[in-house]
Amino acid sequence: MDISTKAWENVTVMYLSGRLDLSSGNRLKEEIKNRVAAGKITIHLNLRDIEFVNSSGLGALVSVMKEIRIQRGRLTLSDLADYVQEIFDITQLSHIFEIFTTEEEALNSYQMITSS
Amino acid sequence: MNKKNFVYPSELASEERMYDQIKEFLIEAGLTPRMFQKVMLPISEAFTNALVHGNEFIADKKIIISITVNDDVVLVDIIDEGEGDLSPLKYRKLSGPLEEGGRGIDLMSKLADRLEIRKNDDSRGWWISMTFDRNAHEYKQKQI
Repeated sequence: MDISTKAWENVTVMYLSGRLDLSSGNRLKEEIKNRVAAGKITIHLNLRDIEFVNSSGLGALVSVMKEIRIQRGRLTLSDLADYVQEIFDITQLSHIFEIFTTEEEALNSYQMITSS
Repeated sequence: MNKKNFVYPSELASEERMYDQIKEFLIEAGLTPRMFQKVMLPISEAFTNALVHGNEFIADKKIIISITVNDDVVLVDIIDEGEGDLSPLKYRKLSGPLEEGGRGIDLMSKLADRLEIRKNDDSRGWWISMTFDRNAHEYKQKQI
Protein backbone atom coordinates (compact mmCIF):
# COMPACT_ATOMS: atom_id res chain seq x y z
CA MET A 1 0.00 0.00 0.00
CA ASP A 2 1.21 3.48 -0.84
CA ILE A 3 0.40 6.55 1.21
CA SER A 4 0.62 10.14 0.09
CA THR A 5 -0.45 13.13 2.12
CA LYS A 6 -1.39 16.75 1.84
CA ALA A 7 -2.37 19.37 4.40
CA TRP A 8 -5.74 21.07 4.11
CA GLU A 9 -6.17 23.74 6.77
CA ASN A 10 -5.69 21.77 9.99
CA VAL A 11 -6.65 18.45 8.41
CA THR A 12 -4.11 15.90 7.26
CA VAL A 13 -5.45 14.29 4.10
CA MET A 14 -3.99 10.87 3.35
CA TYR A 15 -4.45 9.04 0.06
CA LEU A 16 -4.18 5.27 0.38
CA SER A 17 -3.70 3.02 -2.60
CA GLY A 18 -3.31 -0.72 -3.06
CA ARG A 19 -4.24 -3.30 -0.46
CA LEU A 20 -5.11 -2.67 3.17
CA ASP A 21 -4.25 -5.93 4.93
CA LEU A 22 -2.15 -7.21 7.81
CA SER A 23 1.24 -5.86 6.78
CA SER A 24 0.04 -2.59 5.27
CA GLY A 25 -2.37 -2.10 8.16
CA ASN A 26 0.55 -2.22 10.57
CA ARG A 27 2.34 0.45 8.52
CA LEU A 28 -0.78 2.61 8.41
CA LYS A 29 -1.19 2.39 12.18
CA GLU A 30 2.42 3.42 12.72
CA GLU A 31 2.15 6.28 10.23
CA ILE A 32 -1.02 7.71 11.75
CA LYS A 33 -0.02 7.17 15.37
CA ASN A 34 3.20 9.10 14.70
CA ARG A 35 1.14 11.96 13.32
CA VAL A 36 -1.25 11.87 16.26
CA ALA A 37 1.70 11.91 18.64
CA ALA A 38 2.89 15.03 16.82
CA GLY A 39 -0.47 16.70 17.43
CA LYS A 40 -2.08 16.02 14.05
CA ILE A 41 -5.40 14.75 15.34
CA THR A 42 -7.73 15.60 12.46
CA ILE A 43 -7.15 13.12 9.68
CA HIS A 44 -9.03 12.32 6.51
CA LEU A 45 -8.38 9.10 4.61
CA ASN A 46 -9.23 9.03 0.92
CA LEU A 47 -9.68 5.34 0.06
CA ARG A 48 -10.39 5.82 -3.65
CA ASP A 49 -7.46 3.67 -4.76
CA ILE A 50 -7.83 0.91 -2.17
CA GLU A 51 -8.44 -2.24 -4.22
CA PHE A 52 -8.69 -4.72 -1.34
CA VAL A 53 -9.32 -4.62 2.38
CA ASN A 54 -9.54 -7.48 4.84
CA SER A 55 -10.34 -7.70 8.54
CA SER A 56 -6.74 -6.92 9.50
CA GLY A 57 -6.93 -3.71 7.50
CA LEU A 58 -10.26 -2.87 9.08
CA GLY A 59 -8.74 -3.57 12.49
CA ALA A 60 -5.97 -1.09 11.73
CA LEU A 61 -8.56 1.56 10.89
CA VAL A 62 -10.44 0.86 14.13
CA SER A 63 -7.18 1.13 16.04
CA VAL A 64 -6.28 4.54 14.64
CA MET A 65 -9.84 5.78 15.06
CA LYS A 66 -9.72 4.93 18.76
CA GLU A 67 -6.31 6.56 19.11
CA ILE A 68 -7.59 9.73 17.47
CA ARG A 69 -10.76 9.79 19.56
CA ILE A 70 -8.75 9.42 22.74
CA GLN A 71 -6.90 12.57 21.72
CA ARG A 72 -10.26 14.24 20.98
CA GLY A 73 -9.48 14.40 17.30
CA ARG A 74 -11.49 13.31 14.28
CA LEU A 75 -11.06 10.68 11.56
CA THR A 76 -13.08 10.73 8.36
CA LEU A 77 -13.10 8.44 5.32
CA SER A 78 -14.22 9.01 1.75
CA ASP A 79 -14.31 7.68 -1.78
CA LEU A 80 -14.83 4.03 -0.88
CA ALA A 81 -15.16 1.74 -3.87
CA ASP A 82 -18.45 -0.17 -3.92
CA TYR A 83 -16.68 -3.37 -2.91
CA VAL A 84 -14.92 -1.71 0.01
CA GLN A 85 -18.17 -0.06 1.11
CA GLU A 86 -19.81 -3.49 1.12
CA ILE A 87 -17.15 -4.83 3.46
CA PHE A 88 -17.76 -1.90 5.80
CA ASP A 89 -21.49 -2.64 5.62
CA ILE A 90 -21.13 -6.38 6.22
CA THR A 91 -18.98 -5.76 9.28
CA GLN A 92 -21.27 -2.92 10.38
CA LEU A 93 -18.27 -0.60 10.56
CA SER A 94 -20.09 1.83 8.31
CA HIS A 95 -22.02 2.78 11.45
CA ILE A 96 -18.85 3.44 13.40
CA PHE A 97 -16.78 5.49 10.96
CA GLU A 98 -17.65 8.88 9.52
CA ILE A 99 -17.80 7.98 5.83
CA PHE A 100 -18.39 10.57 3.10
CA THR A 101 -19.03 9.97 -0.56
CA THR A 102 -16.35 12.42 -1.66
CA GLU A 103 -13.30 14.04 -0.15
CA GLU A 104 -14.82 17.44 -0.81
CA GLU A 105 -17.86 16.61 1.32
CA ALA A 106 -15.64 15.34 4.10
CA LEU A 107 -13.44 18.44 4.13
CA ASN A 108 -16.51 20.69 4.00
CA SER A 109 -17.72 19.00 7.15
CA TYR A 110 -14.57 20.14 8.93
CA GLN A 111 -15.25 23.71 7.77
CA MET A 112 -18.81 23.54 9.04
CA ILE A 113 -17.62 22.44 12.46
CA THR A 114 -14.95 25.14 12.53
CA SER A 115 -17.37 27.90 11.56
CA SER A 116 -20.20 26.81 13.87
CA MET B 1 -11.25 -27.73 -14.33
CA ASN B 2 -8.39 -25.69 -12.88
CA LYS B 3 -6.66 -26.92 -9.75
CA LYS B 4 -3.55 -25.65 -8.04
CA ASN B 5 -1.79 -25.91 -4.70
CA PHE B 6 0.12 -23.03 -3.15
CA VAL B 7 2.54 -23.40 -0.24
CA TYR B 8 3.83 -20.51 1.87
CA PRO B 9 6.15 -20.12 4.84
CA SER B 10 4.47 -18.51 7.83
CA GLU B 11 6.01 -15.08 7.54
CA LEU B 12 4.49 -11.68 6.91
CA ALA B 13 6.12 -11.40 3.50
CA SER B 14 4.04 -14.34 2.30
CA GLU B 15 0.87 -12.28 2.50
CA GLU B 16 1.62 -10.15 -0.56
CA ARG B 17 2.93 -13.08 -2.59
CA MET B 18 -0.13 -15.15 -1.71
CA TYR B 19 -2.49 -12.40 -2.88
CA ASP B 20 -0.67 -11.85 -6.16
CA GLN B 21 -0.36 -15.54 -7.04
CA ILE B 22 -3.92 -16.46 -6.15
CA LYS B 23 -5.33 -13.41 -7.92
CA GLU B 24 -3.47 -14.43 -11.06
CA PHE B 25 -4.75 -18.00 -10.80
CA LEU B 26 -8.37 -17.05 -10.17
CA ILE B 27 -8.49 -14.49 -12.96
CA GLU B 28 -6.85 -16.93 -15.39
CA ALA B 29 -9.43 -19.52 -14.29
CA GLY B 30 -12.11 -17.18 -15.58
CA LEU B 31 -13.60 -15.63 -12.45
CA THR B 32 -15.27 -12.28 -12.95
CA PRO B 33 -13.87 -9.36 -10.92
CA ARG B 34 -16.97 -9.58 -8.72
CA MET B 35 -16.53 -13.28 -8.10
CA PHE B 36 -12.82 -12.81 -7.51
CA GLN B 37 -13.58 -10.28 -4.78
CA LYS B 38 -16.08 -12.63 -3.16
CA VAL B 39 -13.54 -15.47 -3.08
CA MET B 40 -10.34 -13.55 -2.34
CA LEU B 41 -11.43 -11.96 0.91
CA PRO B 42 -12.30 -15.22 2.71
CA ILE B 43 -9.07 -16.78 1.42
CA SER B 44 -7.16 -13.81 2.82
CA GLU B 45 -8.96 -14.17 6.15
CA ALA B 46 -8.19 -17.88 6.39
CA PHE B 47 -4.58 -17.25 5.41
CA THR B 48 -4.17 -14.55 8.06
CA ASN B 49 -5.78 -16.83 10.63
CA ALA B 50 -3.30 -19.58 9.77
CA LEU B 51 -0.35 -17.17 9.78
CA VAL B 52 -1.16 -15.41 13.05
CA HIS B 53 -3.11 -17.86 15.19
CA GLY B 54 -2.29 -21.25 13.69
CA ASN B 55 1.39 -21.16 12.80
CA GLU B 56 2.11 -18.06 14.91
CA PHE B 57 4.59 -16.63 12.37
CA ILE B 58 6.90 -19.64 12.69
CA ALA B 59 8.36 -19.57 9.19
CA ASP B 60 9.19 -23.28 9.09
CA LYS B 61 5.52 -24.09 9.43
CA LYS B 62 3.75 -24.05 6.09
CA ILE B 63 0.39 -22.75 4.98
CA ILE B 64 -1.09 -24.78 2.15
CA ILE B 65 -3.84 -23.37 -0.03
CA SER B 66 -5.55 -25.69 -2.49
CA ILE B 67 -7.98 -24.22 -5.01
CA THR B 68 -10.19 -25.97 -7.53
CA VAL B 69 -12.25 -24.00 -10.02
CA ASN B 70 -14.85 -25.60 -12.24
CA ASP B 71 -17.88 -24.26 -14.06
CA ASP B 72 -20.10 -24.29 -10.98
CA VAL B 73 -18.01 -23.78 -7.86
CA VAL B 74 -14.72 -22.65 -6.42
CA LEU B 75 -13.39 -25.02 -3.75
CA VAL B 76 -10.75 -23.74 -1.35
CA ASP B 77 -8.84 -25.55 1.40
CA ILE B 78 -6.43 -23.71 3.71
CA ILE B 79 -4.32 -25.90 5.97
CA ASP B 80 -1.82 -24.85 8.62
CA GLU B 81 0.59 -26.77 10.82
CA GLY B 82 0.07 -24.95 14.09
CA GLU B 83 -1.14 -26.17 17.43
CA GLY B 84 -4.59 -24.88 16.65
CA ASP B 85 -7.27 -25.01 19.28
CA LEU B 86 -10.81 -24.89 17.98
CA SER B 87 -12.39 -23.88 21.26
CA PRO B 88 -11.95 -20.13 20.64
CA LEU B 89 -14.03 -20.54 17.49
CA LYS B 90 -16.72 -22.55 19.21
CA TYR B 91 -17.08 -20.25 22.17
CA ARG B 92 -16.03 -16.91 20.73
CA LYS B 93 -18.19 -13.85 21.03
CA LEU B 94 -19.05 -11.74 18.03
CA SER B 95 -16.62 -8.91 17.48
CA GLY B 96 -17.73 -5.65 19.08
CA PRO B 97 -17.79 -2.56 16.88
CA LEU B 98 -14.69 -1.06 18.45
CA GLU B 99 -12.66 -4.24 18.67
CA GLU B 100 -9.67 -4.42 16.37
CA GLY B 101 -9.88 -8.15 15.68
CA GLY B 102 -12.34 -10.99 15.47
CA ARG B 103 -14.04 -10.23 12.16
CA GLY B 104 -12.22 -12.77 9.99
CA ILE B 105 -14.32 -15.82 10.77
CA ASP B 106 -17.51 -13.80 10.41
CA LEU B 107 -16.44 -12.56 6.97
CA MET B 108 -15.63 -16.09 5.86
CA SER B 109 -19.00 -17.27 7.13
CA LYS B 110 -20.88 -14.50 5.35
CA LEU B 111 -19.09 -14.67 2.01
CA ALA B 112 -18.56 -18.41 1.53
CA ASP B 113 -21.55 -20.52 0.51
CA ARG B 114 -20.19 -23.31 2.68
CA LEU B 115 -17.60 -23.06 5.44
CA GLU B 116 -16.12 -25.90 7.45
CA ILE B 117 -13.39 -25.54 10.07
CA ARG B 118 -11.86 -28.64 11.58
CA LYS B 119 -8.64 -30.01 12.96
CA ASN B 120 -6.23 -31.80 10.67
CA ASP B 121 -6.35 -35.58 10.77
CA ASP B 122 -3.14 -35.63 12.83
CA SER B 123 -4.79 -33.20 15.28
CA ARG B 124 -2.28 -30.47 14.46
CA GLY B 125 -3.37 -27.28 12.83
CA TRP B 126 -6.63 -26.14 11.29
CA TRP B 127 -8.22 -27.13 8.06
CA ILE B 128 -10.59 -24.55 6.64
CA SER B 129 -12.70 -25.60 3.66
CA MET B 130 -14.86 -23.16 1.72
CA THR B 131 -17.12 -23.52 -1.29
CA PHE B 132 -18.25 -20.62 -3.45
CA ASP B 133 -21.14 -20.98 -5.87
CA ARG B 134 -20.11 -19.35 -9.15
CA ASN B 135 -23.75 -18.87 -10.08
CA ALA B 136 -24.49 -16.76 -7.00
CA HIS B 137 -22.62 -13.59 -7.78
CA GLU B 138 -24.16 -11.48 -5.13
CA TYR B 139 -22.91 -11.42 -1.56
CA LYS B 140 -25.11 -13.27 0.81
CA GLN B 141 -26.44 -10.99 3.48
CA LYS B 142 -27.36 -13.67 5.96
CA GLN B 143 -27.35 -12.82 9.62
CA ILE B 144 -24.62 -14.30 11.79
